[in-house]
This record gives sequence, structure tokens and C-alpha cells, in this order.
Amino acid sequence: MNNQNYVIETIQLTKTYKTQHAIDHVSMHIKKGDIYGLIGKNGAGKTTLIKMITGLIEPTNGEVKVFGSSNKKEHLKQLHRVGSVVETPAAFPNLSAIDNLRYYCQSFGISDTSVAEGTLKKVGLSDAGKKKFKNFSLGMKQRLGIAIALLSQPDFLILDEPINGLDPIGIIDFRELLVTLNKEENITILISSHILSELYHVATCFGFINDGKIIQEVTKAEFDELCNDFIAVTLNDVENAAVALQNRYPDISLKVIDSKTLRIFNHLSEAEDINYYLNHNEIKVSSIIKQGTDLEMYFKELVGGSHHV
Amino acid sequence: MFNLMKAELYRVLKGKTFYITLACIIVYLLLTISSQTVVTTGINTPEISNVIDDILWSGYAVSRYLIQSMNILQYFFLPIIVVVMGTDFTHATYKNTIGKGISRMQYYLTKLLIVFVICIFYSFVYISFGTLLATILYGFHGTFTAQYMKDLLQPYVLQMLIMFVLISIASAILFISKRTTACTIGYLVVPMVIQMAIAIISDSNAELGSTLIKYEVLSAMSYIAYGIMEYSVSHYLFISLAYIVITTFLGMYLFNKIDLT
Repeated sequence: MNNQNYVIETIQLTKTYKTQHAIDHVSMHIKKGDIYGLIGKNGAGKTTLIKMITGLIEPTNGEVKVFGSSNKKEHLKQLHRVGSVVETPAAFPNLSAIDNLRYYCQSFGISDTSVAEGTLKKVGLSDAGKKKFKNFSLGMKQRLGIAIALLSQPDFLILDEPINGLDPIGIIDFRELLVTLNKEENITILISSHILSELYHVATCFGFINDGKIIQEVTKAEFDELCNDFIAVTLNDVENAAVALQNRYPDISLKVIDSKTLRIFNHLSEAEDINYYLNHNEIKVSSIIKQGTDLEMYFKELVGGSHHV
Repeated sequence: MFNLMKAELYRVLKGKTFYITLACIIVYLLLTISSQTVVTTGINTPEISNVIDDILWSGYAVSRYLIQSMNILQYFFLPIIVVVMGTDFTHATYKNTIGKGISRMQYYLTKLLIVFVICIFYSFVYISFGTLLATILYGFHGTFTAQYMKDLLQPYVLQMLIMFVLISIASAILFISKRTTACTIGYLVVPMVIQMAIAIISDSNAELGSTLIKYEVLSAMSYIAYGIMEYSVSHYLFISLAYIVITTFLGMYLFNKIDLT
């Protein structure tokens, strides 16, 4: 892929606090048009990574390229094309929603006075425009945070845990808003969340982060392929079973989950034969079940340290 | 930067602090002028007391008295410093601005300039409203001459500059610490600490003490106000501007280096 098509590219990005790596040589790639789901546990480094992209934190080492920016000055300039809600949504508590938006319109040099009202409507807050930010519910604060990020019609939107505090209807509205922004306004989106089922619905690619490292980047199509149905086999000797199955089926795709479990991703209709073959090789099979996985299970296994064979 | 300044003014004028502070200044003037009370800050030396005792209550005299006592305004400036600069750190709203690619230097300077502009506005209100009020109550009893204007302008400019020194120190503390309390303490305590340190040094080493006093303008505010300056006007101008430039550049440099977590 041509580097010019990356909205965000980080190269060996590192942030160290004393001796601890908050971000450890992260190379992340977000292509134009993507909805990139950043997945990680609490403290994995998601927010630190986002803060380095938005210039709030200075990297210890490595580089962040925003729309191909090559230096700090260019980075700052390209940030004009970025809207972000980092951590909790921030606004002035004693100003109303509309006054907060007008303040940021002026800050960003937006002279069109209808932009504030239009953006408020876009995030579903047109009825709460005169209400002060301090009296907002968490869900409403999230919406206003997104409205501030959208004011300047950014080409790239960064949302850090945006679903927190939204009610079920709010989550559905939010999902629709993201898809609309992505499809109709061609906004590339980086979204981090703990609610993986929601991320699965909206994201077009995923980056898995753990202990400050990006451990995998996959497109949704690749992920779906990885999460296809599989045969879960519980047995007494995983290593020998893997070798035996590879001899029997040279094209076999399998993954060792732990010392007693492995998963087979093809030959799904041959469970009986697999069972017979393993028993024939004196490997004791406790159970053999056909299953599927989802984003949560996949992530859990990924950070749990299992590996592909 | 101009956009950011406009936005800041919009926010300040939408909030209550600006109007409450303005009201406090007006109430203060009403109380002191109508009761013919002279309020001073800091330690009154015999020289200053003599000048105060000589006040005749008229618009003409009060305009001079207001300029002489305008260092009281430093306490009225504090809420505006907190609102313009501190609110962003209290509510983390700096993320929206700095995350949008506005440079930290621009951000810092904008906030500082807005505080300066509002403080100048307050000082104009303080002097003009006070003079007007005294003229209504007691008559003006004087004539506008070039000398009269010079007598007002010189201590006004010098004292405002010294108050800007204080504001520059407070803002540097705020931007580096990101704590409003640290800024408030710094604003109120730093001048006292400097003065006490010089006093202690002077006790043990008079020569060093007098050298330090030469470059310390904060304690000179009262002397400047009453025209009993030890050094020339240009000396105070130069030292004040040097303080403002140095503290602002130091503040900006360090603010540029810190992580906004």
C-alpha cells in the first residue's frame, strides 16, 4: 500500500515513563476510509497512543505521521484536519451546549454561524442546546464531545471510548452516526472501546494492543476468516496431536490454545475422522466439538498468549 | 491566534466572573470614595503616609489617588487569571484546542494577552469610574494639563507593567503545574517570598541586598505609585519588561515540553 494513503502511520512509536514502556515500539497503520477499532484492556496504552497522535504527549522515540506529515510543524498543521474526543469529553461546564460550540467555532476560525446549530442537530442534541454542560448526563456529554470534534468537518475522527455512558438507543444512534460519517462524509475514524461487540458492528479493521504493543492488525474480512467456525479438541498431548494432524492433513490450519486444547479451522466436516486418527495415534481425546469465536473471545485468546501453529 | 482571542473573549463575556469582578471594583470604589477612605496594600512607610494624609477629596485628587493605590487591583485580577487560564486545566478543555493543532505557544500567548487586555480594561474602569464618582460627589477642582496627564500616565504604566510581571509569573506556574491552586499561591506568595528573601540577604550582606533590590520591582510598586522612586523610570520599565519576557519564554518553553496527560 502506498504510504500516502495512510491517514495515520506510527513508526516504532515509544513512550517511556522512567523505566516503564507505556507504548512500546508501536507501528500502527490507518488507511483512508477505514473505521479502525483499537482494542485493548485498561492500561494497555490506547489513550497514551491517541494522545501522542493528537500532540498532547510527546513520544520518547519513534514517529507519528498524520496525513503523511514528516515533521512536528507539519504534524500540527495536519491536526487541523483531525477531530478528537480523548478520554472524557471536555467542555466548559458553565456554558450551554450551543455556547460551547460557538466558542470552538470561533477558536477554529469557523465563521458560518449555522455550523454550531447544524452540528448539534447532527449529534441529536438540538433540544438541549441551551442546557449547561454541567447539567448534561454522561451520554449527552459524549454527544457534545463528538459535536466539538465534528465542528470543523474533519477528515479524520478520533474517538476514545465514546460508547461509555450511552444508553441502548444512544448506542444504536451512535453506530448509525459513525457509519453515516464514514460512508457519506468520507471521514476516517479511529475508535477505541471496551465494548467489543459494538466495535465489531462498526469497524472495518482492528488493531489489538496489549502492554503498550500492537500485537495484531487485521481487516474485518481477515478477522472474519480467523473467526470462522472451528473444531475445538480437548486432549492429553497437544504437541504430538498437532504433529500427527499436520502429517495426516498437510493443509491443516490449527491453533494451540493451551496445553490441552487446540482448534482446527478447516476440514470441519471431518471431525469423526480426526477423532479416529488421534485415537489411532494413542492420543486420548476428551472432547471434540464444533464451535465459532467472536471478537471478545478472539481478543481474550490473543492477549492470553496462545499462538498459531 | 486572533480567532482564539476572539473565542476567549466570547467565553469570558458569557461567564459571570467578569461581571462579578467588575461589580466588586465598582462597589469598592463606591465604598472608599463615598466614605473618603484611603486603602493601601503592603507596608506603609512614613513617606507614603505623608502623601496619603495630603489627599483633598475632589475628582482631580482622587484620579491621582486611584493611580497611587491601583496595586489593590492585583487582587481583582486573580479571578480573571483563574477563569481565562485555569479553567482549561481544571476541565481538560485544552485537549480540544491543542489536539486540533493549535500550537502550545499560540495557546499560551493568547491566554496571557487576553488576561492583560481584561486587566487593562478593569484598570480603566477603576480610574475613570472612580474619578467620575468623585467629581459627582465633590467636584473636579482642577484642570487637565499635560503635566497632570504625565503624572497619571507614568505611575499607571509602571504599575501595570509590574502587575503584568506578577501575572506572567502566575501564568508560568499555572501552565507548568496545570494547577490553579499553585498559580493562586504563586501569584500571592511569590512577591512576598522574594521580598523576604531580599530582606534576609540584606541583613547579612547589605551590598548584595541593595544589588538585588535594584532588580526586584515587585516591592517597588508603592514607591513608584507615590513618585518616590529610587531609580529612573527607564530602569523600572526595562526590569519589568525583562521579567515579563523571561518568565513568559520560560513558561512557554517548559509548557511545550510537558505531557498533557
